[in-house]
This record gives sequence, C-alpha cells and structure tokens, in this order.
Amino acid sequence: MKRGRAWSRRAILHAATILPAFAWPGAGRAWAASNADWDAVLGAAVGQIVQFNAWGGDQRINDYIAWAGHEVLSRFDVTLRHVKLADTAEAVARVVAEKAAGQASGGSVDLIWINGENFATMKAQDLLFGPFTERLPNMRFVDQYEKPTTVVDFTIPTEGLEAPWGMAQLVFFYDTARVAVPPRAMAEIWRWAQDNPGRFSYPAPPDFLGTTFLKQAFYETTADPTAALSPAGAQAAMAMAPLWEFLDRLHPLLWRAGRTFPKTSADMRQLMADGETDIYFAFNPGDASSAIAQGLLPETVRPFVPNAGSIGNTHFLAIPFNAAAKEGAMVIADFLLSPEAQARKENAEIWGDPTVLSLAALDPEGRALFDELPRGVATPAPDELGRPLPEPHPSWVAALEQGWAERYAT
Amino acid sequence: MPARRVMARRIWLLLVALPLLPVACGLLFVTLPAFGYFPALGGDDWSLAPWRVLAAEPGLHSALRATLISAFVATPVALGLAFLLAARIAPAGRLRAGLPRALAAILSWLLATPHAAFAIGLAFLLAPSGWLVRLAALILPIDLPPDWLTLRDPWGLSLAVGLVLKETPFLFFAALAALRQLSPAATLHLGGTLGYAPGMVWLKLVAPPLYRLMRLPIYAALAYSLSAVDMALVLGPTAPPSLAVLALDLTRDPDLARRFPAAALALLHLGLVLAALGAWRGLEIAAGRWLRPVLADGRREPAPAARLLAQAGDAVALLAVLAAALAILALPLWSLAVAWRFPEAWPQCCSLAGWGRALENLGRPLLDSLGIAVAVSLGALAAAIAWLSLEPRAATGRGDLVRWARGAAALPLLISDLAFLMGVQIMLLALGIGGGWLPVALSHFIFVFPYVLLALAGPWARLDPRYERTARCLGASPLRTLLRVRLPLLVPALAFAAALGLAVSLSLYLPTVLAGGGRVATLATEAIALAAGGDRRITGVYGTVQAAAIWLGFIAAAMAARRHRFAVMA
Repeated sequence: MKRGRAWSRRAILHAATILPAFAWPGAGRAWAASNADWDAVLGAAVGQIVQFNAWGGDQRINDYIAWAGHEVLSRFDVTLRHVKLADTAEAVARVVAEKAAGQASGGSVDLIWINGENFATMKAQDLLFGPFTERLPNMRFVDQYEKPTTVVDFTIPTEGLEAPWGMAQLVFFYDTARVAVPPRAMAEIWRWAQDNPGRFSYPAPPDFLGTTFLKQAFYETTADPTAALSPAGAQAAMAMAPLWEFLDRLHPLLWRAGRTFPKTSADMRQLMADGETDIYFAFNPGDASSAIAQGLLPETVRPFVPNAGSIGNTHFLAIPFNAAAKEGAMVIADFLLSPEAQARKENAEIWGDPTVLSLAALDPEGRALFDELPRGVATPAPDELGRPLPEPHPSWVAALEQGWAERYAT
Repeated sequence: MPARRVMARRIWLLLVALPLLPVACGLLFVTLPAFGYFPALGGDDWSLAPWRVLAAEPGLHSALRATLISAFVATPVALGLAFLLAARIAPAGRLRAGLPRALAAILSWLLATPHAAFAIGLAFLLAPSGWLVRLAALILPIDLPPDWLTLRDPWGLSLAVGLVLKETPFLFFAALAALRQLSPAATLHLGGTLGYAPGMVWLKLVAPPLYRLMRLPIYAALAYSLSAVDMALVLGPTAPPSLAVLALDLTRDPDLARRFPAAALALLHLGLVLAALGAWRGLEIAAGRWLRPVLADGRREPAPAARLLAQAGDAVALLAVLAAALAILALPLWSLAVAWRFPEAWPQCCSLAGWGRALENLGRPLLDSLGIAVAVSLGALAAAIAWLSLEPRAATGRGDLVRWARGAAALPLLISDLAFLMGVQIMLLALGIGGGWLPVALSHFIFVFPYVLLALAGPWARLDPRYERTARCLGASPLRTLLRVRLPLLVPALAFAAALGLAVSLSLYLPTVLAGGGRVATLATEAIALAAGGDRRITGVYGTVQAAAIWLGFIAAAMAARRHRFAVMA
C-alpha cells in the first residue's frame, strides 16, 4: 500500500514538473519592464483608492493587509481599502455581473486575492487585466523554477494575468498533549478516528480548505491520481468512488458525527483551541506557529505532513479588466512582492505565509531579512514539507464539490 | 376641502408611496429572472428552468425544514415568554420598582443588542466547549468538551434558541406599549373583586385584547425568524444552511447562471413567508375557537397543572434572560482576554491588546456604520414628522386609510426582505450601478422608517391638543406651531425614535450586503465576517463596539428626555 502511494506521489510530481513547460513563454524571462514604464505607473497611481477584495476571515491576515495599506499610503500615496470577503467567489461574481451589465470601466474591484477555480473562471471569461506581472519590478525575484506553481495555477498557466503573493501547502497540526502518534495518511486518520471518535473534522466544502481536504483524500484513495491533472471527464465518477466510500466510513467518526461541519479553516482552528478536536489542518505551514505566538493555540501543537505528500499551491493577486484603479493595484501588487513585505509575511509571529521569492535572487540585504526570521515552533522545516503535490485541474473542484453536496449536505 | 389640505393630502400620499416603490421594484426584478427572463444575464425567454434547477439543488429540503422548524419553534416560545414576563412584572403596563424594573432593564439591554453581536456571544455560550459547560466544569470533572450537537444543528434548533432570546424582549416591549394603550388596571381590579386569581384575570381578560393589538410585532417576528441571515450564519445549520443563507450563497456564485435559481429561491422564500403568516392566522382562528370556552368557563383559580406550567414558565423565562445576559457579557469579556482556554470559567484577564489591534481596522467600518445610521435615522425622523403632520386627522373619518397606510409602511418588515432586496440588487445590476453608500442608505431607510414612524405615532397622538390650539389662536402658522410648540414638547419621543432608528440601522446585515456590492463594510458585516472563526478577542471588540454604539444612542436619548423634563419644569 505504502509503495503504491509512493509511486503515485512520484507520478503526480513528475507531471507537475513538466507542466511549466506548457506555461506562458514569457514566464522565465528576466525582468523586462523599463523604469520609464514603472515611473508612469507610479505617477498614475498617486491618489488612487484601491478596493482590495481579499478573504477577511483571519485577523492576522487582516492586520498584515492593514500594515501594507499604511506603507503604500505613505510611500506611494495609494489608498488600500480591504474589502473583507467571506468567499472570493463573491468578488468574482461581482466582476462577472459588471461585465454582463456592460460596465467596462470604473468597476468595484481593483485588486483581488485569487487562485485556482476563481482564476480559471476569470481567465476563461476574459475578466482580467493584463498581462501585467512583467511590468512589476519585484517580479524578477520570483522563484519560477523551484516554485513552478507561481506560474501555473491549478494546471492553468497564469500568463502574466496574476502576480504571485504567497505559497501554500496543506499541513496538518496535532496537539501533542492529546495525540501520541499523528495519523499520516487518510487510512490512518480513519483508524485513529475509530479510537478517538468525534475528535476530527474538516470544513464543509465549498470552503476552499474543505475542498482541498477532499482533493488530498481523493489523491490518497483513487487508483490513478495523475488523472486529476487533466480535466474531469466521463471517468470522474469512477475515479471518485473510492473517496466517497472512504468518507462514508469516516463521517460517523467525525466531530458531531459529521452532522455539522466547521465553516472555515479559522473555525476549525478555533475548535482545536477550544479542545473540541485534536487535529486540524491549514494551507499555511506557519498557521499554528503564529496562532501559538498570538495565544490562540496551546504551545503543545506540532505539525505533520501526510506520507504521500500534501497539496500545495500559490495564491495570487489579479486585477479585473474593468478595475477603476489599475495602476494603484499594480503598485500594491508590486509592494506586496517586495523582499520587505514578503519577509514580514513569512514571519511566523505576523502571518507565517511562505515567500514566493527566490532567496538566491535577492541581494544580501534582502536575504538578511529572511535569515533573521523566527520560524516558529510548529512550522515544518522545508525538508519535512517535501515538494508539494500539484493541484488537480479546476474542473475537479466542481466535480468534488457537487459530489460532496449530493451525499453529505442534503 | 381647502386647497391647502388637498395639497397636504397629496404630499402625504406621496410619502406613503415612496418606501413602497423600491419594494415593488425589488419584487418585480426578482420575479423576472425567477422565470428565466433577464437579458443582461443572457436570459431572453420565459421559462421554468430556474425552478427545475432549484428543485435539483441538493439540500433544498433540509434547508426548508430547518428554516420552518426554527421559525415555528421560536415565535410561539418567544411570544409565550413575552406574555409571561409581561403578566408577571407589568400586568397593567407599569413596571413596579425592584425586581421587575431590573428585569425590564436587562430586557431593554437585550433588545438593544444587535443580532450579529448577540448571536456571536450566544454561540460561545452554547457550544459544548462554551461558557455554560466551562461554568459547569467548576464543579464537575470535565476536562474535554463533550461531543454534543448544541450548535448549528441540522434542524435549526440552536438558531431557534437565538431567535427566542432576541424576540422575547422585542415582543415584551411591544406588549408593554400595548398594555399602556389598553390600561387594564380597572379590568384587573374588577376581576379581582369577582374572585379571580390575578394571573387568571390577566390571562382571561387582558391577554386576548392584548394579542389583538400585538399582531403587527408578532407577524414581524415570525417573518424575521424565517428570513434572518446574520443570526443563521452564526447559529444556523451549515451543510446545507437555512433557506435565506442558501439563497445568499447562490447569489455569490461566480457562475452568473446561478442567479436565476437564486431569484427563484428568493421568490419561494417570499411565498414561504406569506404562507407562514397565513398559517399563523389560521392557527390564531383555531386557537380562538378552542380557547373561547376555556376563557368563559368561569374558573377563578388555575388548575394545578396550569399552576405548575406557569412555574416552569417562570423558571424558563428567568433562565432565558440570564442566558441572554451572559451571551452579551461574553463579548466584552473576550475583548479583554489574554487567553481563555477550555475549561477555564473566566478568561485570563486583562489586556487591551485585542482593542489595540482591532482599532487599527475598526475606524472605517465604524464611521461608515455611524454615518449611514445617523443619516438614515434623521431622514426617517423627518419623514415620520412630515407623515404624522400631514396625516388626515382621526376626526375626518379616514381612520381606515390611516391604518392601512401605516400597515403599508410596515410592509417591508412583514414580507421576505430577502426577495425584494435581491430584486433591488438585480435592478442595480441591470442599471449598471454598482452597490455603494447610497443604495445601502436607501435600503436601510426602508427598514428604519416603519420603526421610527410607529415609535413616534403614539406620543404624537397623545400630545394634548390644547397647546397647539393655543398657539394657533395666538396667530402662529401651522409650520411655526409644529416647530415651536409640538416638536419641542415631543423632544423625548423624538430622541427615542431617533435612537431606535440608529439601533435598527446599526443592526442591519442583509441590506448592507446586497445593496453595498461589497464596497460598504459596516460593523454588522465585519462582525459576521470575523465570527467565522479567527480570533474571538477581535470579534469581541467588534461586537462590543457595535452594541455599545446602539446602547449609547439610547442612553443619549434618555438623557435628552431627562434634560427636557427639567427644562419644561423650569
């Protein structure tokens, strides 16, 4: 069983490494933006108000965005307004609606925190401004070789339509005070849950983390995980059958016997903090460390990564085609890519979100910003994390969410 | 009829029609896409396709079930508790000093607490790892929270508990106002001389006419229970959610084709609310038939079983008030906590760090909330003053018209707000206007105005007409009489109505979400966004600030009233 999984993991990883070859030809090009162009952007951005539509369910992230707002205001005279979303789809829906209503400029969304299915939707419907990432001075520091997901978003090439912001990888956390040996595979989670009923849960899809859990479980249960890298076709139902079988067995052993679910990752962390569950997971490897630093979790929490490896991706910033403050949005996207902003973001005491930059590409001063960072007690070391499993093609999201809703949300 | 009065009548009719216009437009614009017609979204033909898609939506039945259970549990229980409390602490509409006053003070505090903040506090109270279990852990050996389904259950019962606690004070104060109108002291006295036990007189002679006077608030409570979104997001079921939340989720789908079934669902919700009100009316008639012989049976003393029931009711009412007070206290307590881990009964106190972090981001939503609330409640106050000054006098034999007009103003509280607000959103979309401050303020006005009007109407009618008559005899114009005599004399009522408007506006969630297009964040929307986990210390700050803004409004109104009293006496 274990060997089979190892094979799957290699297969997925292999497929992931060849994916960037299909990516946008300009992806690897050195920074080509001219200073004059960027100066013009900076000039036009002065005084603009940027409606930054970003998921607002985590106070630490909100605090970080507020800090960025202060900085861009004092440095570039750009006002950042954080529109806190419960779900990124809300903002996408608004842009779609504006396009349908013929509003080609002056739109309500200037900058949007995005990836995966939402990006695929916006790209397919020509709702994005750009390509613009090549114009951002700090884009040249992005690590496109070691971090291929910075240019391929859920198997979809970004083609310069979204600027990478941070790296994410699914990491599980457990309380060492209550769990001796963490279950490092879906099958083990089931066995562990039999001994510890009611002590584990996952957010109800379509919450993005809940859907990610489905994908991870799908990878670990299906016969041929590489199928997930191409669009979900006629074989999808058959490929997902083992997943539903697994969840049918797991759900009665979940928190509240699977009759209700946490709503978000933050909600799930709250359950862990309240002692209602013993294991939670997050898309940010530093999640538990910064939560411990802020007194939200007990200090006994530690990370673990599934043996099969875990799903990883990059989250991005994109600008809608009808944004009212495109220049201001670019200035903010570039600032958020700067070594200073990226290092602050990676600081476990602030947010703990890994950088998209290549440390090798930075000058010594920039590198020093990262060297001094506290990693946090509950952040897995890079070798523990391993190379992330790629996200499945976005069409699988709909298939998994629909299948889940039909079975467990009726 | 003199020309001036014709003019006044016309302006008044315009005022009556004005708030109805957006409601009518909203309902129209939700009906069109519900039947497939909406060219801007590619729907060019009438069809039943949206309904077919809706029928195939997984979870629709459970959502419907949870919505109906929560509403039809919450409204009767809240009504029963409100009547019980009224009968116990203010049988004749006047509060005695001591415990009744204290209880009423807690109830008014509860009424003034916004739904979002209250729901967040209650969720913390009810959870198996929540405050109640933590308090129990003081005496019981509990080191892990029990795996009980006390929150967000699929049947909507925890939502029902929240609705009961929030509607009981609303119906209690409605009962208090109605009791003052009935002035049942003589009835109670008469019943006493005939040998009826005090509770029996109240139940047999006061409660029936009281109920009749309270229909509007009761129907509004029922409609609210079926439509609540903010409370359902925190206390309601998750997969699937309640009907109103499911509809909201559908409008947030990036696939715009989902707007068609969303509109159909909103229309279904409207039908549900109307059917529920109809069913309630049917139950009223049935209960009236069934109760008439009981009311007229001449029994002076309650049956032992009824006495026991009343005592149980007292206990439940006291517990409910206590629980609600704890739920409200939880928020400020959390905002000051360093940490508060299970099973500690009290937080590790105290730190202002949460306040420091929250205040960085709090300014804008606070200013926006207050700006909208102040503008809307002042606007509603002005409209209500205009309405009441231009309204035909009772003596003109237009009493029915006046009653109907007031009912029409309250219409937004009685039908599905979801349906017409979604229509308003679709209309804005069709017109190519994004959401923003102005649509939010206008949609708030629709909900604030009826409260302000109803709060002002009573004191307005009770003012001794001789003041104004004297002023007119001394040659003052009607406008001058209004500005220099009537309004100054009504300062306490005006201040209270404005504070009420402020409270309603600061509590509104759905109008801000649907008309704001994501551009307007208020304390209510921020608190709900933060409630999805994150950091309870920060959520505590937002909830406390939201509630405190409302409390301060009422305190300021009370102070204005007191100063006014001294000023009049001086």
